[in-house]
Amino acid sequence: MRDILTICKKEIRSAFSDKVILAQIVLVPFIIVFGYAMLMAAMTDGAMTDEDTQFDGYYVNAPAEMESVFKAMGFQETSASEVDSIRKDITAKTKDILLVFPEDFKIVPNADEGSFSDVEMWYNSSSTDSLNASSTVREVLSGFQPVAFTINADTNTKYDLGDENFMMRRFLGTLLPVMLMVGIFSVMMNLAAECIAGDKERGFLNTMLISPVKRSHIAFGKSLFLFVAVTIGGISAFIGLVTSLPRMASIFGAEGSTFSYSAGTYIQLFFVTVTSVFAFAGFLLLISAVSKSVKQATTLSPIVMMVLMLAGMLTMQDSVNKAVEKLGLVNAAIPGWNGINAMKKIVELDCPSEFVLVTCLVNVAFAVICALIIGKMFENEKIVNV
Amino acid sequence: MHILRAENLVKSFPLSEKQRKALDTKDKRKVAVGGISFEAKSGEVFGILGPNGAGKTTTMRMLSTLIKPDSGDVFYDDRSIKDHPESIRSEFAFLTTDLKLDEKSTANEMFDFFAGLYHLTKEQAEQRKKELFDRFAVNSFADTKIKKLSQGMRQKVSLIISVIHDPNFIIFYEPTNGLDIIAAREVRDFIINMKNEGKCLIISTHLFDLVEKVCDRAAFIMDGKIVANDTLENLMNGRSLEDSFYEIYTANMEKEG
Repeated sequence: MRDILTICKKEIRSAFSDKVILAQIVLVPFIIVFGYAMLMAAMTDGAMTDEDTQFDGYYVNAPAEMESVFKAMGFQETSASEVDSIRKDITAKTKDILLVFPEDFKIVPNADEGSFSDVEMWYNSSSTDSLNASSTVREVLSGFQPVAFTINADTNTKYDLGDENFMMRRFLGTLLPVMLMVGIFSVMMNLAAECIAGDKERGFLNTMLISPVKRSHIAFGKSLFLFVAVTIGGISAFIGLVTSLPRMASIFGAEGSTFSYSAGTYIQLFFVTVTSVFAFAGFLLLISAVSKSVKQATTLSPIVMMVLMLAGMLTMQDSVNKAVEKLGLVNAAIPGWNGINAMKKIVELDCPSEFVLVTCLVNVAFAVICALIIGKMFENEKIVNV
Repeated sequence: MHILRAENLVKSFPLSEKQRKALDTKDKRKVAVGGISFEAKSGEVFGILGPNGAGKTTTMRMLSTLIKPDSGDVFYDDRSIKDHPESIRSEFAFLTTDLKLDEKSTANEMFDFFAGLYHLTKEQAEQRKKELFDRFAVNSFADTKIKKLSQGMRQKVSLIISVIHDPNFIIFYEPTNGLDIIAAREVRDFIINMKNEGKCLIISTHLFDLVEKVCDRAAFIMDGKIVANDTLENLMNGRSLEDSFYEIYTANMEKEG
């Protein structure tokens, strides 16, 4: 154990004395997760602001009860003589929409076919703003149309029996696991590659191999260092996640009072995150051990990233979710898949404790097995750079 | 008395398709060392000489336990490298161009790290550091990152690290590589000193001058086999070592056709 710690300490000292590597471990995961979450929030926020409901629109002969609505949307009244000119501008995408009401426009609830007043709505489907304006106007005008009956007319009754923040949680559940993993992966890939393949390439591994230390202990010392480093990276990414959640929640309309996670949920998320990065770190170390150079290791490592992204994307599919749901705890027994799956379930508040427990245990066991395999590989002379 | 004994060492390496074509052979493996035996003992310096590709480096790597022989064995005081690799590693120093230091560390940090791996106590480490750093004048750049050192300075630090544990067996491959005349002289004196202290030294180099000055016995290796193994006096037989080596080399080349 003493030799393992000596090697681990040396690796930590070496990594932490390098400002770039230190920033990579401590800051980059936070920046990626927090920055990405803020970017998503800003983009979504932008898509939801009132600015998007302001169109360069015009109307002719609008009845008084509709005029105020159009004015609120920024539309301007115009005369019939301007219709041709505005239509040309809409074709040229310099104006968004034109509504032409007939002079004798009237709302008739039960008119016979053919006797409805027709409103002409001129727009340009090749312009996004114009197309959005047309949908908004359709929606507004449908409010003035007569209804045959109402649905859920009592506004004081909560007819939706589900969790009002479910959609919010579901959205976060599909987004956050991949975000977390990408943040931490950015740290792991280079560190793992440098850790073994780097020393092998530079000839320093050979120098350690002729010391009286058991070769497997050299492997364990290096593995321990990487697990320490990715734990720090994991904590950094986790802090990024926790600090960005309130902003994400507010953007999607969830109020702080109703949308919140308990300490238990955060603890579950933390353990799943850390143990998942252990598993990935173990796999990346294996890649590093079989690679002859850092370049080779960093070329092979994105395979793990692809697996992560694929797992993340699969959890976004309802059909896939329903199919894998039937497998129950088996999902928690597959390293890589289990972490993404557990994080999604935790964020959606739909993760049984045993799923979290099995996920954590499997990931730690997988990381240990990877370290043992690397230990065995160090006993083989193929590890020697000749 | 410490004795290092290599017995019938054989080592071959797999050949890739490309290598087979380049060598114009159908053999799937190339024999790098084909049955080498020799013995070196305390208080003497044993030289291993040979042209490029003769099998010197492979032999040195087997002696250092870096790679394992296909057959044969190496004994350090009757202990086999196959059975006791870790404990044997604590008794020899190995210095070759294969071995590099961590470029992000300083000489001081490297010394402390390896002192830890060789389980030296803090006092032992400090004493040894002072002794070796003074001897090789390393103090002035002891806190400079290895990557910023010249090749000669790095070679000095590598040499110091290799003998950090005051080993009984010392295996050096091109120990004066990259050193200036003064530093090369210091290394040569160091080798002679260690010999006088009763250490068992094996040196492989292309510098005949160094061999003539420090070695007691030497072996010539060609095509993975020892073609001559004797005292320096007998090998030279009134000629320079270089002439003697060239004569043996050409005679063997002619014999092989």
